[in-house]
Amino acid sequence: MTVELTALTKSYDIPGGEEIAVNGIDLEVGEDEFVSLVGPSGCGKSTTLRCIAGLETPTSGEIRINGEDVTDTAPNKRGLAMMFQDIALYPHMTVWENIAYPLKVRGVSEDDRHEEATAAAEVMRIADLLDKYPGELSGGQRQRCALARTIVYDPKAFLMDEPLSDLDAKLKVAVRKEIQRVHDRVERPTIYVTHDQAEALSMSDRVAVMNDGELMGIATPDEHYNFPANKFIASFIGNPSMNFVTGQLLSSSDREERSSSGSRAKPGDGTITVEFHDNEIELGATVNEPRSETVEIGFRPEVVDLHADPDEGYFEGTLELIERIGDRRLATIQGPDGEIRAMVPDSYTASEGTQVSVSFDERDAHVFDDGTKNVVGRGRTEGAEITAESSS
Amino acid sequence: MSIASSWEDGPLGFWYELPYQTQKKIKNVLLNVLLAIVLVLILFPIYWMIATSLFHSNDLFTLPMPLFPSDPTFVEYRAVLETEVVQWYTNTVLVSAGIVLLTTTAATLGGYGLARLDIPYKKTFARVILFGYMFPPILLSIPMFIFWRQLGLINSLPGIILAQTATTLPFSLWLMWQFFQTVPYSLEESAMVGGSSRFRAFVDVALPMAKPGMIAVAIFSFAIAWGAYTIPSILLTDSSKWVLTLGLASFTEAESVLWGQIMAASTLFVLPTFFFMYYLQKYILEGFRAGRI
Repeated sequence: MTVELTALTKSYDIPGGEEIAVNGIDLEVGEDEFVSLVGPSGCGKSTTLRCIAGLETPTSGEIRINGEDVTDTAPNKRGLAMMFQDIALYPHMTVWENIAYPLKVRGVSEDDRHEEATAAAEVMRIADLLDKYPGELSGGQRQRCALARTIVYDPKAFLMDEPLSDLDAKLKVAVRKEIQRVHDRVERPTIYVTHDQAEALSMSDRVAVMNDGELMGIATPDEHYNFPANKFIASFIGNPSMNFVTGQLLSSSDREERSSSGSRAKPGDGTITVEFHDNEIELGATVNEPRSETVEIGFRPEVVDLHADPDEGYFEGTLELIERIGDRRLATIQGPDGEIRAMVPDSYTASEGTQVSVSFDERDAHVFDDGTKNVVGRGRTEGAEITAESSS
Repeated sequence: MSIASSWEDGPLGFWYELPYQTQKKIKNVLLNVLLAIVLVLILFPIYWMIATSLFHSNDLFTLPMPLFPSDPTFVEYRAVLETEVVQWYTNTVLVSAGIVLLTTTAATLGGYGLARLDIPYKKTFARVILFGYMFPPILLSIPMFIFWRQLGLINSLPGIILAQTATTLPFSLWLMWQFFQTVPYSLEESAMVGGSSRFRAFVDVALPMAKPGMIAVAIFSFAIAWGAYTIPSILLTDSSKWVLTLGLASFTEAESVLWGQIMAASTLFVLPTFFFMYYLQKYILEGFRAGRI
């Protein structure tokens, strides 16, 4: 079973024009694949999901489930299952009636319904709650009940619209596991919408990052983390988020070769040299050609080192804040280009207000073109290479 | 000098010297006295109606009139039941049931449509509907008489049901529109993705959630239907089609005013309303709360 979106676009008429919520999304979710749609609020991820469910009609584009075009099919004929942010259990029905409701509308006899609902409830470990009403359940039990309702019939795909956002942190982790357990069990494509990148990274086979109605990139969590395709993904994925400094592009070794051959260069073919704050570093070139002279160099807080000696680092800044994050400390430095975040060991002793020098591991640096925002160079080029979605 | 202290120096200064608990008790007693006066104003006419219906007719005009019937009699009730009252009673029940059914059905479907479907200018429409409720019935009844005569609906119960529904529907529709807005749409969406058609989702999920609103609408339209006078008095000319309100009025049109019979018929008239309201009043509050009135 697969779910396929082709050039899906949804726009709304608003006074004085139209608002594009989803702009030409192409997405393919393979057999029993878990794909997250992640992005800041208002990026169109929920609208995309609602289009797949049939609750919104796309302005243009095509939705295929199992290769069958369902773009104009009513939601109840698509054979999908969906979990809503507000859980959407029917308050006037008991837990078992809730779970069995999709079977009831399919005309399954009461005995069979009861049997199937009980089985689904057992999978979700709520078999002892069948006669209660949703109002009598705790938050986690309600989520499990809603999950049971989606697995009770055999849906072609699972759609989840931020189902965990109303739960507390501990419960979130628990229900997350339940969702993954269900996904492994039913082996159906699952599309999971969330604004929480940690949730997306921990659960998904692939993560589709959206911004402003556009798909910024789709890749595995590791690829997104290690090889971000553009500046948006780089800054959105990872917590604390990536640092950026502005620099100049000095040279791109294979620029001429590329433009003459016309074919796409393979990663690792060339190098690019960038300059920032009187430092010059050379990194591997990516398939994206630099378009402008200004670049942004990104590096994760995890690879930042702080030095007391000003000569040891690339540039200097004032240590503004040190806070504990788990077993390490997060240092915030006011640098020449704004805030720099650094994860430092627990033993780090410099006090707030002192001048520190910042360095980072070049191998973990990424260079983004200031015009296209696509990645044009990075320290590591081995491993998977991701083509930017919006290379314009 | 603060305001409070200047009050303490005034003629009511003694009040502030009382302990707080005493102040509360006195306030409570005063409020209860006020409540009792209001209750007497409301309940005494009802009591007087019932009492009068039980007096012998010659006792009715003795002075001073006794407060309690010393020798209660049902002779007036018997007299009333010998008139067309039973027919009128049946008519009233039929008409009220028809109006309640029609109003509740139309208001529920219409309110759902206004709340859920994408209709251009539906908000403006829904608000303008309320304006229809502002028309006094007498304003509607003359044009209605002309229409209904053309349609042959004069002196017919379906005719009066239709006509009276015109007065109950606007407010009911507005109430149901408000009510459906409080029912989360995701419940129906979840039912639809789960395999039910839109109508099935409406019946299985939205309707049960809207029940308090429907009951409020039923009570409201019943109250209007049961006590309707103006429109029936114009559309119903044949006494066999009369409703009770018209029948009651007819008792005074005779040469003498038959107080005993009027009161007996009134008592019979009021009883169903009393029970209807008594059992359903908690729902009407729920319904109005949802409508944010």
